[in-house]
Amino acid sequence: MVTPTTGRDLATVGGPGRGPLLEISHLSVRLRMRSGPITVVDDVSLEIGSGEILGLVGESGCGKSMTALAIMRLLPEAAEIAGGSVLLDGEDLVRTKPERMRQIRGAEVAMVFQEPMTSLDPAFTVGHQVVEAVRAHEKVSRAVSLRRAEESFERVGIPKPRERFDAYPHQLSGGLCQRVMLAMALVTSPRLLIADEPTTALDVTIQAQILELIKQLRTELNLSVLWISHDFGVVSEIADRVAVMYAGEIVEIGETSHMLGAPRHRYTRALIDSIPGRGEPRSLLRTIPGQVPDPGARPAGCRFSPRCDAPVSECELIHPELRAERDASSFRCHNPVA
Amino acid sequence: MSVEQVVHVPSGHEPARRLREALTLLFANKLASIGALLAAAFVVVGVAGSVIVLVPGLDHLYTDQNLRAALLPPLAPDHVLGTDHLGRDLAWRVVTGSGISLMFGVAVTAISMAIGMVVGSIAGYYGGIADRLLSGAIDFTWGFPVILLAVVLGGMLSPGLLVVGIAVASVTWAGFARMIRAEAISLHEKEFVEAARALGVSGPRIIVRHLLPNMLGSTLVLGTYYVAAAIIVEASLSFIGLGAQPPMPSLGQLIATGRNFLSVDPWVAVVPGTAMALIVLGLNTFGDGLRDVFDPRLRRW
Amino acid sequence: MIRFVLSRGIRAALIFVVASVAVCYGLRVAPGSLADIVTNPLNRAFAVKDLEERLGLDEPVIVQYFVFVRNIMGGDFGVSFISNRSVTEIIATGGLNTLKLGGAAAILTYFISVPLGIMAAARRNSVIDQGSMLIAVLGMAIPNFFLAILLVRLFAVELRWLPAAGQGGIKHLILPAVVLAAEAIAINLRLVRASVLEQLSRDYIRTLRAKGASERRVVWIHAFRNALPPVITFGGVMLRTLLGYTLVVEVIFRYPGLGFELVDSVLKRDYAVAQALALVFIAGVVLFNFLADLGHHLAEPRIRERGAAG
Repeated sequence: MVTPTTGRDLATVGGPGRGPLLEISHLSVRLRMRSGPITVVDDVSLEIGSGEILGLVGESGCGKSMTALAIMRLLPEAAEIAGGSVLLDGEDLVRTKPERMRQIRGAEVAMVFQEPMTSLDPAFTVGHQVVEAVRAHEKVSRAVSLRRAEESFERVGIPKPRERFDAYPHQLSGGLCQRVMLAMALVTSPRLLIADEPTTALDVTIQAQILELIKQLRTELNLSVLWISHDFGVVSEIADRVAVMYAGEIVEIGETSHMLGAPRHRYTRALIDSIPGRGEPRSLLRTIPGQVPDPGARPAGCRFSPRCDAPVSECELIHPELRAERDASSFRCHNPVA
Repeated sequence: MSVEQVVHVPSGHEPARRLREALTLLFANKLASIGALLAAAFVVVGVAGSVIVLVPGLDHLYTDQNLRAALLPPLAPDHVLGTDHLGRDLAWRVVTGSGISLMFGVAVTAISMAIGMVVGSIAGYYGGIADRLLSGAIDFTWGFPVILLAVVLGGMLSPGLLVVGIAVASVTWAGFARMIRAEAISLHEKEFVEAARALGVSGPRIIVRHLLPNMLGSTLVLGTYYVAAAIIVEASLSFIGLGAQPPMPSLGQLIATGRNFLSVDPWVAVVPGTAMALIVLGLNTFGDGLRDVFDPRLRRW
Repeated sequence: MIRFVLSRGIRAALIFVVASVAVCYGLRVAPGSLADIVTNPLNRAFAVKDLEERLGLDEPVIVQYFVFVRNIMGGDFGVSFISNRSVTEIIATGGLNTLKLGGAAAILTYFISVPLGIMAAARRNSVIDQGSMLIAVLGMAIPNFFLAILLVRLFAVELRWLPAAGQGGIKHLILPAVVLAAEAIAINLRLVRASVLEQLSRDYIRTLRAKGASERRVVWIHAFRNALPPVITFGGVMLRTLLGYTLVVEVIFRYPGLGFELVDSVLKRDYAVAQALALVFIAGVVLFNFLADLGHHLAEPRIRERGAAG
């Protein structure tokens, strides 16, 4: 059975009792360039269930960060949402008023970023910045917000929270800064955490610790997570489901274990093959030849076709639709992996 | 293959192409285009004025008096921009004044640029004790009020263009030195400079062949600003009698003269004043445009 | 911190001593001895000798310098050759006037340029932004002496609201202060705007917005706080530039401050006054330099850290 799908057709995979918390339908983001608008996020539909971790994977420039920023309505000045909706518990974030959006940011949807060192304000102590997150949403006394911040520090495993409070970001390591970012994101008990490559700038041990921490917090707080990464390996360790993005659109989406075992889209397979430690032992690490096409010059047919290892004649001409499979996964390919 | 060739490849400029790109970018910016136009007009008028100052026998253009045609407003017959209290033609006086401004601004800036380049590249490239000494001098000099220095120097020597020039140059060199030092430090680490060093190219040679060409853009930008600043300082001092001495018709002096006739005929001040403002406006916006083209990160200070 | 203050303080003092030697030496060996101007040509030989002896000008310069320093320490700056006024008195009254003028200009500068610069940055390309950029462009292009002429013509000659020159109450202060501040406002406006804009493009701003901080907090507290160091550093440069321009502006408005007196004494070759006033001005320059260093040091936690460590 092969039919084009929309976000709504994608069954929620989280299982019983986990209705979708976030429902992105047909989201498009355009960049205004001097040469004309460029679509960087193209008709993206995604759902995240309550307590679910959804991985969003793709090479840099594929539109994953833009998708995340569009959810938060924090797109850079040159970018704008061109269409679609982002429903958080039924409330459309695309159309909500700026002040309401401010209340949602941090309180209901929190975000952590790739560069922990530069993502914190260098001129204020980290304690102040976490307290500020509390006080942006709740009218509580300084003492209460301090205690909340301290609890949050403890929760993300920052040793001796009180002593760290007065540190400036530059006095802390990258790993600690990312924990501070997490503490700041979680201090207001949001329902959804968007993590945009939060471990990319960190070394492997710290990365593993942060992954563990996120999984643990998900269970403790029933937190939903949108985990963005260019590294399928990292995503496969943490995500329940994975969406693969290429050149602004979703090319495959499905359960992590399933996709790891039997990827359908050839781009997905290439990404999985490039995870170190997989494939034949001691073979050279596989890389995907070529690069993501410039958003202004995408191929007319399948956007991946110029780099694909098994293109068929349709690929260059017809842009493939997203096809749903019976197991609620879907992919966008004329010649899928068997 | 010579060492120079080996080393030059990675730094990779193609001057002609870069210039073309730079110009395209510059004229894409409307304000910068206006600035470039004003600056170009200033250069043309200034060169004409310089000719009048430098070539003997032309001074009658701006000194000829005619008391019967005194204090004419602009657009009077024979006097496009009117005349001053002695009936001297304001247009010629402004042209001559622009010539003095141009020559003064360019000469003084060229001298400070030369000093700044030498000091800055030595301090930045060699570092160590040389850098500490020179940096101290740069820090103190940079931002020293030029007008104050010019006035004090005016007290030591006799007031005039030369003194103002010395005062301006002895402060502005530090601006160039500061910038060039910073760039030399960062270029010092660049691959092509390291390669040159590894291949045994001497320090001065690296500075001249590699560091300075790389700084050309930023230096030009700063130079444009400093020409404008030098012109303002000269005019300010001429205005209070410590700059160019009569009969040299510096713009500052023309404005000062006009001040006495403010209630009778404001044009005597407004004509040279507007010329002055347009010159400075042109140079500054042209400089801003250049800065955006060459080095968006270069700050004004 | 104490170390920093001490080291910069010592440096400032050293610079001042060097500058004072230069000024004393320069003014004393100046060509065209002061006596040429002061005295009647007919009894010049006698008068010069007399004057030189009276002023100690026949001593070696180094001796003169120390005599001068000793006198200053005793509060004696000498006497004007021309008006016979005590230099100490000139410094006291002129200094007060200049402080008033400079203070008014500095307040005007910051109270206008900082909020306007922040607003312009926060609302890029808005009417506020374009308006303030126009102010900046004009403020930098119109030389302050020409601005003075225009303002005098408008407010003193035409409207008769304000006095054209002289010294008196607040009314006498307005035009000179505006003229003195004009360029500083323009430059500082651009600087504040550029600096805040640069901060607004930083990663941490996105984090602040992501945690739901209000736009007002993002701009006026965080972006501005981080935009401060260059503004403070430049503040030192700007105050020094203002100090220089007081010379011009005070002369234009015949405002009896130190700048007016200094230019007057230089034009009249009144060396005792010129020398003392030049030193007062240089002291001001060195002081502003020091204060700017200090301010920059306090505004930048990373620098503060390094200073404390070593």
